Amino acid sequence: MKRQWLRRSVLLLLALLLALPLYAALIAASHAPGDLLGRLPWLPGNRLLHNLHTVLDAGLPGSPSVLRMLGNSLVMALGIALGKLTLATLSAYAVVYFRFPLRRTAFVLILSSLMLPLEVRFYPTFQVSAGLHLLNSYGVLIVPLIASATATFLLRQFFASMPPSLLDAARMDGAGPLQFFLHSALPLARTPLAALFVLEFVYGWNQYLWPLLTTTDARYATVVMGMQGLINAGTSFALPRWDLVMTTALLALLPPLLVLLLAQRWFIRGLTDIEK
Amino acid sequence: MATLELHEVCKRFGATMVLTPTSLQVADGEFVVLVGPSGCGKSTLLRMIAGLESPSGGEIRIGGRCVNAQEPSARDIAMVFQNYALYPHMSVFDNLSYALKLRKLEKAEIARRVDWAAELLGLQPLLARKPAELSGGQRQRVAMGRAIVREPQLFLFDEPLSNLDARLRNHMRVEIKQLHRRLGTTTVYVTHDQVEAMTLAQRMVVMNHGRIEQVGTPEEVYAQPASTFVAGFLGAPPMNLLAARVSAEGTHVLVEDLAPLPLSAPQPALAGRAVTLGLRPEALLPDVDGCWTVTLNLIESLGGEMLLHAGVGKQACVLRIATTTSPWREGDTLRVNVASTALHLFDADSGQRLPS
Repeated sequence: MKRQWLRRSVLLLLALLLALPLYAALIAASHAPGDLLGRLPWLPGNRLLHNLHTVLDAGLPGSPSVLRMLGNSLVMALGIALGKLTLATLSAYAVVYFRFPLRRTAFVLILSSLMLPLEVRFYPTFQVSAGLHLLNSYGVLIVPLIASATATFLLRQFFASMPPSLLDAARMDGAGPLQFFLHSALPLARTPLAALFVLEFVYGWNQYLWPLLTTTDARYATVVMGMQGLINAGTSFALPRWDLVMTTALLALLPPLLVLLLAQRWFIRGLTDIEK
Repeated sequence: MATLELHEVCKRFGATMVLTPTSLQVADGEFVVLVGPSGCGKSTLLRMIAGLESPSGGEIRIGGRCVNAQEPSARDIAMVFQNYALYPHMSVFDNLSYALKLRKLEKAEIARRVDWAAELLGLQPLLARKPAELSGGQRQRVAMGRAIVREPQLFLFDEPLSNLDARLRNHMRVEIKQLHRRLGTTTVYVTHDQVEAMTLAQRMVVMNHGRIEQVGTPEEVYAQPASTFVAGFLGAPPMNLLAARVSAEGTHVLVEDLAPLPLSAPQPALAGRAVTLGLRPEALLPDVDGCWTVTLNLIESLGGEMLLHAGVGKQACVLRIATTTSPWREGDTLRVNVASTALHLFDADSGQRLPS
């Protein structure tokens, strides 16, 4: 009994610690800028809706509306997540079920690219993108990021763990490679796919450096990278607009949170029982 | 319905010969069981008939047509797998109808065939369920249903009962036999279980180390095993195999420390040769005037019968006696008689059957 209380209070303390910055953002987002001068009130104010209205509609002076940035982020995150899943599913399927020369080598190459941090290949990728005149487009936000060694690896493990007799049965039933993929492999992989979708969506949403490097046109600004511009813009006024910056921050937090909450059940199942 | 002919079919994986060139004829409507220990090549042979593996040599003919180059689905055959291999994400109905849908059969025809198979196997109340919601026996039935809806020329079974518990296995064994009676489809059935082989087969093929040891009806194979391997593989408990020698005149067989046993006919060709003597456990009968004296080491009661583990000379053997209570006790000596017609002689080196 006593131990349980101890455990709970530790958990509570950690939860509070985690929630504190969120609470601060909420307070800042719900006050007038004047209330935030040199101090942070303890309780939320009543300007949250007003501030939301302002950022979503107009944004800060000198930057696009936050609604536009949210839309850009959504396009990028969905594009990256779906692109990664498509590419990874197909390559994992190929590596597991097709016998072709250098099959192992191909898989080892994919796997070894896991070791390279994304930033290492920014320069060459930038060169290629610039050469293809892709800069300042949705294409450049999405396409260079849709290769995923992690997803390929996870799905390969999943496909390899499926009983081989399933493929035998499908062959006896007269299913070709494409039919086996669409009718059996893909539906069976829906749990790991859902888990990966959540991971990759959050990954895509949080991209900062790449959009910053490749899009100079404000029309393609994403919310995570735009935040930095907002802070610059927001603090350059005589009266710093921390209220609006924090409102934007809260908005930027919502979509990944929603995706995670909606897919939580699938997410946990997909990561824990890859078997099945 | 069709015949199946294997002509010098073999399989190599790299340098290892998994199946030596093997020929076999299966008649139209026949139920043939391939039986042998694991690794004997029986499953490989079945998978080659199915088209899931390609033979390294030889020819496979179904209904007189060479199918070597055909895809599994083009061979007009159906297979039941050991772990059933049902599609876990599809309902029973979808599992049964998948092959028919891929063949682009009409909806009404698909429904008719699925209904027929479901009726035959008692699957009607389960059609909407997923495989995960079925018991082992029900899954087994769905797997069989998936095979029969296609109305194939040839059924292949790959150890279909080995994932079931003993009771269910006996039950499904009977069902498979009845199914074959009703449909009369040519069937090749693979198992490592000699009881399944004996009870199901019209003809059985005993395999070992990638080759056929013996082909025959279960009665023939049991009564006249072609080698010590077959003798030791069939029957529970299996045939007793004793090191022995044929007498110099070729009239008796001698086991060390025991009285000579007369052969049913003199075998001058075998005179003085070292042989392996095979005796079924039921061939040794207790008899106060018996010629052999054996020492009882252990008694096992099976209810209706008893297994007596005994020492004969320096060797060991098992006796099966149809009795419910044992007048003997462990450690007793016992006199037994052996009928000369019950003797099996095998070559001591090659294990091949010799005339006796």
